Amino acid sequence: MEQSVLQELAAIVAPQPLLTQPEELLVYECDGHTLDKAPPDVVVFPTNTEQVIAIVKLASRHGVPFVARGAGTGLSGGALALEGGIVIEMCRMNKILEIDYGNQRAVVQPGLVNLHLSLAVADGGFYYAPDPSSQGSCTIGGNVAENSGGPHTLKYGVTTNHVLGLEVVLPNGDLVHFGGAILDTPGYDLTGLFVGSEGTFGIVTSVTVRIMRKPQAVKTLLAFFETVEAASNAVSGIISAGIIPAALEMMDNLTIQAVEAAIQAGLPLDAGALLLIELDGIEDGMEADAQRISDICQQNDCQNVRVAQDDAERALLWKGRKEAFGAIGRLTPNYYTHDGVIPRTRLPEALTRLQLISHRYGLRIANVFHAGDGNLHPLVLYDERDSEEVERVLKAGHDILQACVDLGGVLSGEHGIGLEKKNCMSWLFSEADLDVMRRVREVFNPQELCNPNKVIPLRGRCRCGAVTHDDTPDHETHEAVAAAMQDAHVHA
Amino acid sequence: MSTLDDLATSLQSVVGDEHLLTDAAAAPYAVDDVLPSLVALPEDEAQVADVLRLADEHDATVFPRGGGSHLPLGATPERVDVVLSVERLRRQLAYEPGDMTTTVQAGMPLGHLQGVLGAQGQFVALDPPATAATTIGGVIATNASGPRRLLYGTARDLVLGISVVTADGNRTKAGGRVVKNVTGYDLTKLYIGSLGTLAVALELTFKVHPLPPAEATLGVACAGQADILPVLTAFLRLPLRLNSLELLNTAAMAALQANSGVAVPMSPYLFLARLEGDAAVTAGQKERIAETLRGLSLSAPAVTQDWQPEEQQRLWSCLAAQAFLPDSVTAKVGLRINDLAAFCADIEALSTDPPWLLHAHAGNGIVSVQIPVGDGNEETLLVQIQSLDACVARLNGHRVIERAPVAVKRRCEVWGPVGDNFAVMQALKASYDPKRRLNPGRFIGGL
Repeated sequence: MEQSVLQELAAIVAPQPLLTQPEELLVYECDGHTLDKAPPDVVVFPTNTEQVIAIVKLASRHGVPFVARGAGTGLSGGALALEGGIVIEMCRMNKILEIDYGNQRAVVQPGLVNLHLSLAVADGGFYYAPDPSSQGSCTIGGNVAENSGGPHTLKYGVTTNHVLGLEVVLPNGDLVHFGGAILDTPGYDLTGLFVGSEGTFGIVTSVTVRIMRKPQAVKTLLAFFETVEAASNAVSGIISAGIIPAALEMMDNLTIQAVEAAIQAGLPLDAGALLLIELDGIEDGMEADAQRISDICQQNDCQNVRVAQDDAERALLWKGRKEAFGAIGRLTPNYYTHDGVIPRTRLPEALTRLQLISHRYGLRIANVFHAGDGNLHPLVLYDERDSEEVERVLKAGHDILQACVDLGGVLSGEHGIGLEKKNCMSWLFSEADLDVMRRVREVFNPQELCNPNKVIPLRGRCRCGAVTHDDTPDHETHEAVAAAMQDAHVHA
Repeated sequence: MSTLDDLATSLQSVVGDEHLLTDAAAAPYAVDDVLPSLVALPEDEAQVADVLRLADEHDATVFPRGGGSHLPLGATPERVDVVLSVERLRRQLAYEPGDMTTTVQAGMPLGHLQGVLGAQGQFVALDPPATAATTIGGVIATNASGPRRLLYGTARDLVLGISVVTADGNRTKAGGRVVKNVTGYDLTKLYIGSLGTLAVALELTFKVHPLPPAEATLGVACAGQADILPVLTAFLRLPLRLNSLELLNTAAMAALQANSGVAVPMSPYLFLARLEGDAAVTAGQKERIAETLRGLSLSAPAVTQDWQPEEQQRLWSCLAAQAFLPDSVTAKVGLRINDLAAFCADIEALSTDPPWLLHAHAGNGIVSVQIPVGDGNEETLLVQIQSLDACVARLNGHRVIERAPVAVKRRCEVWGPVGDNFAVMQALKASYDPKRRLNPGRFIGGL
């Protein structure tokens, strides 16, 4: 990048420094998706909207790519500076601008940590519902970009269901407002369109969110099963009974072992799977619902149901779930995760497919996922120092996504497409579908400088970034597996 | 042969003689009294695409239509070349109760879909004002909603995926058939409420919900505007399974009583609260509400009212039907929830004669204001709309004229003013429909 551009950039944010030294940039060469890396030329820390506008206008004028970054916890390479340029780190814009309990709204800056919002409104009896597992560090701005989910989205929806308005710096530097504190803004739902655009439509500088009353009562149950199939059947049973728990999470044996080693919650190490089930809402009727859930689990060969007796025990059970990814670190130097979604009723087939993939590539796969909405999180265990193993991991990841698509699902439920999965988009979408998406992106981002080359491959250009693996699906193998699955299904 | 005659011949060969309407047969498909030259009723996706492609080739404008119940929404068009009705695309394409999702064609009547889902103990949690003709596609294009939005949200919270045909006749899709999905841009949100100005919806996938075990309705009559806010706040703060919270003024109550034949406690304002749960659960919730109300310091004690189950049903269905009240200007007003009471006070202060009907989704800040046409002429109505706009502007709200005599619509800004984001909206329209074929001029800012 030209020295003069750096000087202009420095003047915009002075006295805040820029980061330009290679060792300073190391931490910015990837986000939570660590398989691909590319360092930016410079990292800048704006402290207000005017600075963001000035930075974006500067970048646009000089044709320099830029990408906004929150906490860097994203899992699909969304915050990676694929083509170098400027990383606009939003963490210093982390204020809560307004809390309005009467209207159930809060206005926050994008760098605010997700959990900090819930903590700030807790005394008022409120919380912010979307709760990604990284909520202790991830930012609301990053959540808006990725349309983040979390365990409690089964009942309450994901980020897009809770974001009502946005202030956005468009990639040309124009400041615009979408939606707002009042519902049903006339015109196109630009807020809805923007949420989940993975940083490719502009940079959010303020977010109006819905805050919700804390539920009167919460009940958390753990049910242990001998097999994941039995647990899957219990999930179907609960949903078919017309009960929508606040959360319905599953862990398989490998995850249970890792979590138990990490937090000693007293989980049975021999269980094939556990379900973490949470009910919330009004107290009346909750006991009855809990009993119904317990009965459904028993009917599906549940080994044991444990009900959290107090907040401390509930917190412990959730700690196991929320820190499961970290706990897996005890089993392996590295893991690779996907978050494909499948229709809930295909869960048993999906888990069987994952087992087949695990065997095929000789890789351990731990499963911890949002069973209630069919959002898988297979963690493929590996050691990045073994390059041959890395190749197998990538192939396994590819097969996992293909399995999700085969079963009528999608590539990602909450982690985003980013850099990681953009070349798989054609499995789900036709060229015409992708072209409409490209054209919508061009409306916002005509110079393609704002987080370039993410989500959807550029038209007629095969720039695969740092991703080296072959993304072409191996149809023959998949068809064979699909046929075998079909067969198994018919005879089950 | 004129271009339109030529188009008619081509369309006839696509949809067949009996499904291309002209002249008198086309009259029921008028858009704001503007008669369409042609009405095409395609039976499948390929025909929809052909109709759009042919219209494009003949420089004809196309007005997508479902059942027509919400067609008055939108500015009055200059001319209508082709109405494209999706009413024959009415199949359910997929339904797996265990997945709690369903995919339907856009022309399927909402009531029909609810019947199919109801047989499995499920429903799509959308309850907009609807007639037997109201289609899924129309509900989504107009982003219509009803009282249950308090608990279940609106179309943006319930539509998982969509297939559309764009103005050039290409079929494309967005979203998927699973309940959680961030694969690709969320164009589904863009299409919801876009009034058919970007593309014609073909298929929609919905998230469905289990039907509540039972419901119970409670009326709470307030002695004056000053009591609205404390009662509303109490409702929103109490731990309840509350799926609807409506607020009516006296005029709306009187209409509801007259239309339903159910006795309504006449008072300045009435809340209608609908609770979910089995009988024991709702009884407990009602008790809690009554107890809380007794603890509030109000200008006069709030009066609670119970109704028989059958009466409750009738109240809710008649309340929804009031949206179609003939001979009125209907405006949808959006406000901050806490400004609702101030808005009621402002409207009261106008002392309109005849009185306006106010009906709010009180927990969402959405108000339907109905100005009876009475013997008022166009000028009087325009002045009344100006008065309404002043009340809305004072509270920084927004308003859309949903229904009005065409002569009035022609002379007012149906969608209200545009914002600083309008250039983005224009660019999106230009990207999707560069030749302005689809519903031109009907949407916000003349899009």
